Amino acid sequence: MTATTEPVVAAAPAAALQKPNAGASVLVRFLGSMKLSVWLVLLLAVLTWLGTLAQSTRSTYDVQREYFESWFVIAELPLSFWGKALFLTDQGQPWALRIPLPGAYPVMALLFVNLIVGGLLRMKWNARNTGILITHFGIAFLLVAGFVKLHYSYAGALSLFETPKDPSQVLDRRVYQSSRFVSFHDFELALLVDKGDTIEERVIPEAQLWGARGDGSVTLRAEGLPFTVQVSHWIDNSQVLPKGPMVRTTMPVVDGAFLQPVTPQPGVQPKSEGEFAGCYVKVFEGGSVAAEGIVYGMPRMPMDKARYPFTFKVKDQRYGLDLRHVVYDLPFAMRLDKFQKLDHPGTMSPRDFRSFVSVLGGAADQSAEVFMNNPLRKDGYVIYQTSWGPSVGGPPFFSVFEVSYNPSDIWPAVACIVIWIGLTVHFLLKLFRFLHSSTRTSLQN
Amino acid sequence: MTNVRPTLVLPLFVLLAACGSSATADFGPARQVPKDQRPTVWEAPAKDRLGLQPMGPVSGQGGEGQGQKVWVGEPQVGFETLPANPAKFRDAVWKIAGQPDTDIYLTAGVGGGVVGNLTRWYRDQFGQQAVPAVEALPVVELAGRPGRLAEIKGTFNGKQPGWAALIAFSFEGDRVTSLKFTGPESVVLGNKDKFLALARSLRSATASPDAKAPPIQPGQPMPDNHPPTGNAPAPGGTGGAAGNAPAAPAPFTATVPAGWTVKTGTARVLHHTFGAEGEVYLSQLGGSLKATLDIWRGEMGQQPMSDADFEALPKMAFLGEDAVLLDLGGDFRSMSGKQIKTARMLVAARVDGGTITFSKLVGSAADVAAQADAFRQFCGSVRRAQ
Repeated sequence: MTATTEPVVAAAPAAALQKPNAGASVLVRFLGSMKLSVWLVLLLAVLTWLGTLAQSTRSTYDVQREYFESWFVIAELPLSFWGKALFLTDQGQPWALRIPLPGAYPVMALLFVNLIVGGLLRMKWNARNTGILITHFGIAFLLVAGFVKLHYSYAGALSLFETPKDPSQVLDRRVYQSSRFVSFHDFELALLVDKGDTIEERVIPEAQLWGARGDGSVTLRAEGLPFTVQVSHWIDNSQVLPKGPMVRTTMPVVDGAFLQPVTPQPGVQPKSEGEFAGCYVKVFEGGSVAAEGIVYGMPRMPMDKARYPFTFKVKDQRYGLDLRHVVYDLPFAMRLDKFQKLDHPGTMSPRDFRSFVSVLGGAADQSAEVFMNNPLRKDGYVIYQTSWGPSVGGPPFFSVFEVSYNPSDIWPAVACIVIWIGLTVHFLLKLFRFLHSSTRTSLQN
Repeated sequence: MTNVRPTLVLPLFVLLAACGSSATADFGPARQVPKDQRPTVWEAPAKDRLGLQPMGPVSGQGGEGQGQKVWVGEPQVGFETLPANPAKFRDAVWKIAGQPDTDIYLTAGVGGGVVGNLTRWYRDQFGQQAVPAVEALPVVELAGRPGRLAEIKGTFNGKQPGWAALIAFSFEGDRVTSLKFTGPESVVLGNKDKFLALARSLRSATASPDAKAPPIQPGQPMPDNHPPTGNAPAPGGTGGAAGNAPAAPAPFTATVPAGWTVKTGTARVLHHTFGAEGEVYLSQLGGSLKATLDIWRGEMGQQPMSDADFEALPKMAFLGEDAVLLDLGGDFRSMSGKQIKTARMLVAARVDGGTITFSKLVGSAADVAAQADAFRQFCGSVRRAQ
């Protein structure tokens, strides 16, 4: 990216940046230097390489968070030669070199500053540099788009079964239409209060419950509530098992069941969307335990539209605690009218699958066809066709959509166009100068 | 709807976790959500709420009929019957009246094998290193089957000296059924004969689908509408074959299509006839679904399915869930000898808790073709009785 600045970055600093003091000048010169650009791009390359390697044993989502969205990472590089580990740990696993590195987040932030200072402020704003300046604007805009997406976007899954044409085939629990979707990865603990026709809902994101991992605990409060909730034994990837006489566990047993961490199978890349958090909750009323139970973030859609919270009563009011994927409400509902899957001849491998949906909730229902690279855009949300199921046993099939809300949705496309324009201008200017240069004349001679 | 990225708060919470202390946090602000926007099943049983699959004891697994298995035993003088708790592997529970430290309970069909259970009882619970071979233990009768008796004395669970246990157990493969009596040694051994009599008298029965129904008691007369059991005459002294018995309350409900006629004197549920010789009914079986479907294919003169054929069977709604649909044509010959030339059979079947629940419609091809849509609607409407 910044390699394109090579002919011009060495130009004299703008007058406004030359002084007032030497320290600031050194800092500005450092932040705008070509050397810094090169190091940052190299760091990004190394992070990309190590992050890709890490995905062989970690889920893509975890690696993305650890390597590309973090400030700092201890990257691991398994040392091997020709596919064979050079060293083994005591557990027989390949020994990995642990390399402390900045995460891609600060690297890209610094690259943005480097681009602004070196590629825009310090550069001479003249006709000769027009293409480079436009290109740098485009790259900076691309980085801003990434920043906005990281901090202000959210996405999740919406799974719908195909609506049967025969009403007798409609199943009560099944989800055929919905106006909510759920996060792929993030959980929240919801405190529900049964208010009759409505449900009063308070949520707390999982990040605030991570203190309950291991021996820790987190006590949750809310204004006006006559009780507190203590969360303990938080497990990011858990399963619930019944406690039989022959089963041994150090975990508390509640209602004949207990939580157990799930260990990924060797050689299988974990998928964080297949990992379900769980924890124990104790409800304290006036210093004594009023209720205790296990809450488990098992998803149920599209097989079951309902959630099954851990229910308790305090002062004759019914409450529920539900550990669930973060729920996002849509300003409209979507119904799957028809799902079409075409297989390669003689196989069960799909060559095309697409969904015919109705968007409900506006003045008039809107029909749309959603398939790969043809998302539905509605009220700031983008709905992509991503998957389908069940892989065995259908029909009936359900369709899986990714619903994304991203204020910077089209910014990368705009940035790419700006970069394209900048490079085009730059190379045309180069060509123009060449055509009128003495070099060309001497070559002709 | 700002999404707070975990990466920003992660270091803070890692530090908090490292301190090992408890933390406090506040729920977010309250908001009101319409009920239909948050479909909620309140007070669901733990197994439904946590998605637990049935495992361990045989009680709680669906058998024939809708109810769960319950265990009853001949009441012994001085024994007090307590509520069973199958979720905690206590399928029937008693104690000695006036002796709160005593505990007698039946655990039916748990895994772990006989050696594993003996080791647990002798070594883990009573701290005895010598675990006898099962063949060395005296033979007793447990629930009408031969079993063995473990008699253990010592300190129970490391904190109750002078304790004893009597454990009558039987096993089949890895599954062990045991009646266990623990308490102070003098009390346990003093009630040994009664304990063995209780073990002999134990029988399983199918519970009422009505969860609030009182437990079945030994010797209790059957209700007026109960079908003959084979062991006792039906109420009203009719006795005899099932064909003369009044129908039992159906554990399933459905919207029956017009034109179907109720068939009486049958043990099958929602049994109806249509056309010249067509019939349709609902029932339950144990065993493998594919093997069962293959038997019905055999009734139509067809070969068993391949696994791929089985996987590719179409689905239809039945009992509020997906069920496989078997649609066969051919000459029908049932195992009871009934024959229909140029017949057609429709079966909707699904497995639920180890039990196959199915609805089967069979008749002449012409009659069945006329009833195919009605059958789909009928199956779509079938629900378990509340």
